[in-house]
Amino acid sequence: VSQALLFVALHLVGVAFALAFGPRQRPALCCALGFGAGLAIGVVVALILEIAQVFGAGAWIAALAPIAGVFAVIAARRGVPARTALVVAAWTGGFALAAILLSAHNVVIASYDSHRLVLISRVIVDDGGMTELSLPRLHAWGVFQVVAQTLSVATKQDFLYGLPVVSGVAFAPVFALTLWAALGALAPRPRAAAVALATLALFSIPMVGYHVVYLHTNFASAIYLFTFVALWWLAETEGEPSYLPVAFVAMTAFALQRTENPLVAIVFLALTIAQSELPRRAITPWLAGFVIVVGGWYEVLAENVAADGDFLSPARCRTIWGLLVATLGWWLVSTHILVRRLNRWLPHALVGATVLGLAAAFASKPGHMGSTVIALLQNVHDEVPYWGFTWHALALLAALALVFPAPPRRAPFVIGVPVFLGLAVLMAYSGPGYRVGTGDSGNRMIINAVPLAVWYLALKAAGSRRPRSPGPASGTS
Amino acid sequence: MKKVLAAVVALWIAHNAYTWTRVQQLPCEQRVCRSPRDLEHWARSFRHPRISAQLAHFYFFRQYIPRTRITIPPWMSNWQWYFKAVSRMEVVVAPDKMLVRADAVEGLKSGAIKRTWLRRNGGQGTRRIVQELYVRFADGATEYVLAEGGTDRRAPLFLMPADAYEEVKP
Repeated sequence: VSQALLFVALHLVGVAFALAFGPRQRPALCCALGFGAGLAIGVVVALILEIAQVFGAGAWIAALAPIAGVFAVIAARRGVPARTALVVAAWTGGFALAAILLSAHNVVIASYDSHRLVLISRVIVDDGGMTELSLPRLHAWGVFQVVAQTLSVATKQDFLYGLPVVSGVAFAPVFALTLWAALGALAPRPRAAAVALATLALFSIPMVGYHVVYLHTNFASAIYLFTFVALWWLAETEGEPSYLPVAFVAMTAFALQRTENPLVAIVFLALTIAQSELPRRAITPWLAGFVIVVGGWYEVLAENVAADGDFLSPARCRTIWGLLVATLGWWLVSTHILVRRLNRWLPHALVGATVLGLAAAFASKPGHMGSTVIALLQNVHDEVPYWGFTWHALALLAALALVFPAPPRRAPFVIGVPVFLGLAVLMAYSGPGYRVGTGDSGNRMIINAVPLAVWYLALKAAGSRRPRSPGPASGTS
Repeated sequence: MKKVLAAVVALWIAHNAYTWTRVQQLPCEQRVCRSPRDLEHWARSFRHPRISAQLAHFYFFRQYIPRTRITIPPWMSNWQWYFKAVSRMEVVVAPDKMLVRADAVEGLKSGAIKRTWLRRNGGQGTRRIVQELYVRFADGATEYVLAEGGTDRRAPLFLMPADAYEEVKP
């Protein structure tokens, strides 16, 4: 029960944030986004306390409570209609019940990596923060799950075994409600059956089920990346910037999940924000906050990791935050006509750079890269049966969906997903390469693409009234 | 065309259901094992020292030595099985050469280690400094050293192969 109480508290923090700054015109979506947003905010607060070495249950609650209070006051001042209050109350009751049930038994899968994440979190809790003992050991994984596990200090548990399960289950309504909203933006009468079918398809994939109970970083990455992209799409399509604050909270959580994620985040920012038609003032402060939090963390890491680290070294950490700062700088000068013209070419440039990178990698290490790709293909082609025919089905659906007109703002899906998969292959260049196995790094990483692909294909097929007629596609980006 | 797409998705969902049944039939090493029987099999099947070391690692790393509370936590349903795997080892603590034999560990549940440690630490269990903690498998094939513990009360212990420890030993 103590875990469930923590999860409900985080859910309420997130709901308050979403109602204060987010899409308050959609109270159910605010509630669905609540847990993910609240967890991200709680983790960032804990991370700051842990870096300052003043972390503990009392300190964390004392720091988070006033922040949540401010969210609640702002939400109240903007007005909370009776219907919204009713939705929040009902949703929170349902979430609490689900959290209690899902935390009642430990069904979590723990691999070597999971153990390390939990172990380092215990070290941080016992030390009252991150010290020279624990910081260097964070070079191989992102910090998010470690810090999330330190929140167990506010419970009676040694670790939050309910966290992956609650996060995974809480993602289902986010997927369904964003798809419902997106279909509603394209057609007057969104199709509930299409939403239900797409959601069922996604969550029936055994690999997704596996990740829902697997204590690791990958599915959380997929959840937060999806949340960012879907909310950005809704913001642009509806011309409604209120989706962006939660989107950037999600992007911050995504970038802290894994060491390669900041680079993936930059790719998706180039495909979304750089192409935005929304007011710049609605983007700049949240983008700056994202860069400060993620960049700041990587500078802390740069000062503590070993120079010859296998994954992150000080030079690599500083390269990452340098790229993040450059992204912000690029955005700030994007008012210039020349930069705006260049921004239109960014998606093409990303594709070109990825293709060139792959070509160079295969040219310099043909055997290594070849075996990596073969292992990856074996993993998705039934060698490791957790995927089933997922990738085959996605390819077939993508081919069939070509007859439908493309929805607007498709770049993060039709370019972002392939570029991400290309990057996933490229990331094996310097390491031992991918292998055949459920727990293989590449096999886990590619789950990022799946919710985005299913959502987009559902949007494309169900969002159009009829197959497209001959002529130019209606897609705009 | 939408009906065709819906039919493909329905088939995909049906195949996912079939895949779930296939996953359950995989050998234990290739899938996620949840039942105690499976977990025992899993623990026994991994005779590789690294995997066994991780089982020990999980237990010892999270403990600070000395610390006031050393318990076998009840939160993992599979914990007993982890512990069973660990219990096949001898644990030797230097410099006092305190020995926790496998048979002394096996069968004891939560609190057993705590009492052992408290007893040998004069009933307090909080001020003791441990320089090295040797972990030797019962078959004598592999020896590991928990290093980095000791003088700093807050220093965590890390498990590494004995030969590797010899290389970094001050």
